[in-house]
Parts: sequence; structure tokens; C-alpha cells
Amino acid sequence: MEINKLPPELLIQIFNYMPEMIVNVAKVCKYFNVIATSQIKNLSIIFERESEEKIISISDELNNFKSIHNMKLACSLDVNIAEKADFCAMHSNKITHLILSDFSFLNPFFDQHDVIFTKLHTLEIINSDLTSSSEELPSFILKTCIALKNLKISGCSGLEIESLNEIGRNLCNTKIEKIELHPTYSYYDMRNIDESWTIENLKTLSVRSKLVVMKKNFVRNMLGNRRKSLNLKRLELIAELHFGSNFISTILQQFPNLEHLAIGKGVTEIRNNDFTDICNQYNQLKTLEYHFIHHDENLELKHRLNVNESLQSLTIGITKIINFNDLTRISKSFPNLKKLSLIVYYVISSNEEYIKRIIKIFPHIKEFNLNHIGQLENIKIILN
Amino acid sequence: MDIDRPSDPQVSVVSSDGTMFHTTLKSILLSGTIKDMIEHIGEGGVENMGAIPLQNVDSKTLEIVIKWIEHHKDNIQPTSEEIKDKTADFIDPWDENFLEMDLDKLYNLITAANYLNIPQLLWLSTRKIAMLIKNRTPQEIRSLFNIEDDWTPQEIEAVQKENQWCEEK
Repeated sequence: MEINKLPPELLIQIFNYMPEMIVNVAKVCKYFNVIATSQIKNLSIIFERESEEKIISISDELNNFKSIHNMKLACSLDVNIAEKADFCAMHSNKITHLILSDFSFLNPFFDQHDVIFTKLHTLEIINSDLTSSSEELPSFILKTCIALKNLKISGCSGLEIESLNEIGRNLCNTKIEKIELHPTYSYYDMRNIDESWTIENLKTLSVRSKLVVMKKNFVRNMLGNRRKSLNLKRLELIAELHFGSNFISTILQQFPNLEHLAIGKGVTEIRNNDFTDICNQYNQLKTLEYHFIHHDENLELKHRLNVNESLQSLTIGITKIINFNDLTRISKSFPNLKKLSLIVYYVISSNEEYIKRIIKIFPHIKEFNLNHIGQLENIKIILN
Repeated sequence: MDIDRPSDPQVSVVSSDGTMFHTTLKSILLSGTIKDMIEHIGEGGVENMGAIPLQNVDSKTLEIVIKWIEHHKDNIQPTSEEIKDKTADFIDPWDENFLEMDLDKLYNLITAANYLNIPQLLWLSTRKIAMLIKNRTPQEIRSLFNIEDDWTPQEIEAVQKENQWCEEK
């Protein structure tokens, strides 16, 4: 095979599928080198436990790649933090996606006040202890990452609520449109979340955690009456949240344009009627994930369920059981449903018979997931 | 035998080595190149236009291409613009199996898909090459594709010195 005889446009297409291989590919032959260093725009680098020399060498090498516009960098900060911070500073005009992980001490990233990440659109901070970086983090996000659109803080501990509030208060002065907070246990106490979060420009707000307990002020303060937003398309609140009363009516009122909604798992005020209210009001809803707090609650449709042609994916979770009559009503109301996931406590018959019955009730679905609480394996059925 | 005009008329194409293949209009229209040719003739003239010569595609490759377009003739095909943003999208198991071929055939398929302007087939075949390259060292890539190492000893030394980290990975 004469791959090295392929015209440049085809080689570029091939190389674009493997941004993490570009530096290696550039060393295969001179022709590949010319293409890789002058034509390829996307590059991906992962730093784990490389030596100081190696990090510096990588940094120098990248100066040969003149056409790189988008650099994705995943950086584990448990060793050689200073060298990795220097690397980022050196390439701050190319890094578009930065994943920082595994740091526990004051991070030199946040001390480099003269560095601006001009193109960074996605920042993920994962699996880290933020205790000693908590104070510097807001400034880094708000002043250093001037083009940031997506912020994810996941699996971290030690982030002070004041730091989170500072970010939240200034959201309207940033380009951030997606925030994902996936805290671990011992994360912030949401009781003290500031009332002045400016979420009006957000398109996605996601809080997901199995463990964290967020008190009722979280909802009042973050999603209160002054927080109406026509921009929010995706809202995910899957945590030990206490929403207070009339939570669903608040959501419906404040975020009329939601296309993706996930709520529950520990939410104390989720009720049966909320399900029909959500489905009936959100005509444009494409995905709905709806969880009760206890497995001894049943989803029962007590009110009329309107036809909703936009809904394509439905998850109903931690429900004791859903009777087949209600499932039939759901099927008729959502004619374009492609994916159905049920997390149930009781299945009257065997799993096999239950699945057959479900498929008969939902003849148009392409995927069915069944999580039968207490059983080890989740069942996933793909249908043609 | 149908006496009425079939809804999907037959079209003939001839490979560079003179072999004629018959397929349907719906299938062959997945090729942007042939679609342009046919649009210039006008669809009314398709049945009378004779076999379409394809100078850049040999018979073995054309047979593979026709197998693919006939399988996908009813599927909505992404445009070249949509393809540009694709990276590791879901691959149909049929396509995955279809691409299990030796490297020479794969190379010919890429050049044919490019010449015939079939974006989805070109995406699949180039992606397959990328998957083969992944996680290999420069020397392994050279061996796999029989690429001559055209670096001079001085250049290799300079590059190796500069990029020692990469070899060590």
C-alpha cells in the first residue's frame, strides 16, 4: 500500500482522526513531516509522569508545528507541576481544551498572572483536592481563561463555597455557557450559595452527585425568581438536593425553553404529578431523566398526559414499579421515543418476560435499558 | 419482467480495465462525481446515455464500491461539510466488516471514493487507516505501509535528539 503516495488532502483527513499521533507521524518520512507540521490543525497531548526534560523537549518540538490551532492537553499535576505549568504558559495561545487532574497543592497555573489562555474554550478540573487552590481558582477562570465556554469541575473536593460564588456571580461577564459540577462527598455546602449567581447566559447547568447534600437554599438562590432564562436548554439536578415546595413549577416558569431535563435521586419534592406537568408543558423536550428519592414510590399517571412528539429519550428511575397501563399511555403520548430506560425495584414477571412486554408496548424504540434494583447487571437491548 | 419504466432505472459503469458493471440509479447517485455527470445529461436521458466510463477505478475496486453503494442506497448520506466534523462516530457493524480487506484494496478504495466523491465511504476508509496507525511507533508505521525511511542519518540524529520523548512513549 502506497499510503505515502496519497495526495495531501487525504493524508490530512487521515491525520485529523488521530491528533494524539501527529508528532509520531511526523517522523515517519519527510512527506508526512511536511504535512503534519504545516497542515494539521488539531493536536492532542497527554502528560502523566513524564520527566522534566521530556516535558521541555515536547514543548520545543511543538514549535515546529506551525499550523496547530487547537491543542487538547490532559495534564496530571501530581508531579513536575512547574514544568507542566510552563508548558501551558508557552502554548497558551494554542490550547483550546485543558484537562487538569490529580493536583493537591497550590497550583502554579493559578499564579501566572501574565498568562492569558486566549483560545481555551473547555476547562475540566477532575479528581483533585482544591483546598489550597480554592482562592486562586475564580481569578484563573474569570480573568485568565477569557474565551472559556465550558467549565467542568468533577470528582474534586475542597472548593470553598465563596470561590464557587465568585465564579457564579460573574458568569454574565464571561462567555461561559455550560457548567457541570459533579462534586464528591465533602464538597461545598450549598446552603451558603450566593443569591447573585448570574446564570442567564447558560445553555447547560448540570449538578450530578450521588452523595452531596445540598440544602434548600441552593435552589432558591441559584434558580430563584430572578433567574428566568430563555437560554437554558439543559438542566440536570441529580443529587441529594432539597428543592423546597413548588420546585417543578419554578423550573417550568423560569426555564421555558428546556430541551433536556434530568432531576431527582434524593430530591424530596418530586411527585407523581410533576411528571405529567413536565411532559405536558415542555413540548420541545428531547430527553427526560426523572428519578424518585425512594424505591417505594410508584410512578402513577393520575392526570392526562398530552402527546409530546419531541421526546426521544426517557429515563424513569428508582420507582417501585410502573404498571403496564401507564406505560401504554406513555408509549402513546411519546410516539417518537427512541430510547427508554427504567430503573425499577419490582418486576412482576421474569426479566425476559418483562422485556418482551415492554417491547410490545413500545414498538418504535431502538434501545431499552432495564436496571432491576438488586440485580448485578444492567440489561441493554438494542432493537432494529 | 417489468414492462413499465422501473422506478429505479439501471445504470452501467465501465472500469478503467474495461469491465462493465450494472447497478441502479439510486445507488450510483451516492457518487457526487457521477451525480454531476448525470445532472448534466438530465435524468430523462439516463436510460439512453450508455455506460459511464470511470478511467480512475479498476474493476476490482469498482466491484467493492458498487457493493457499498448498493448497501447504502436508502440511507441518508452526510455531506462533505458534515463529514469534516466527524471523528470517532459510531460505525455500522456492516461497514466495519466491509472494511476488513488488505491494505492494497483499502488504498484503492480510498482513491476511488475520493475520485467518485462519496464522502461517507471516504470517511470510513480513511478512518480505517487512522485506526491502523494509532498507537504505533514511526518505525512500525513504516513497516506496516512499506514506507521508505528517507531521512538522512544526520536528519534522524537531529530529530531523535529533539524528540527523544516520543520514542520513549
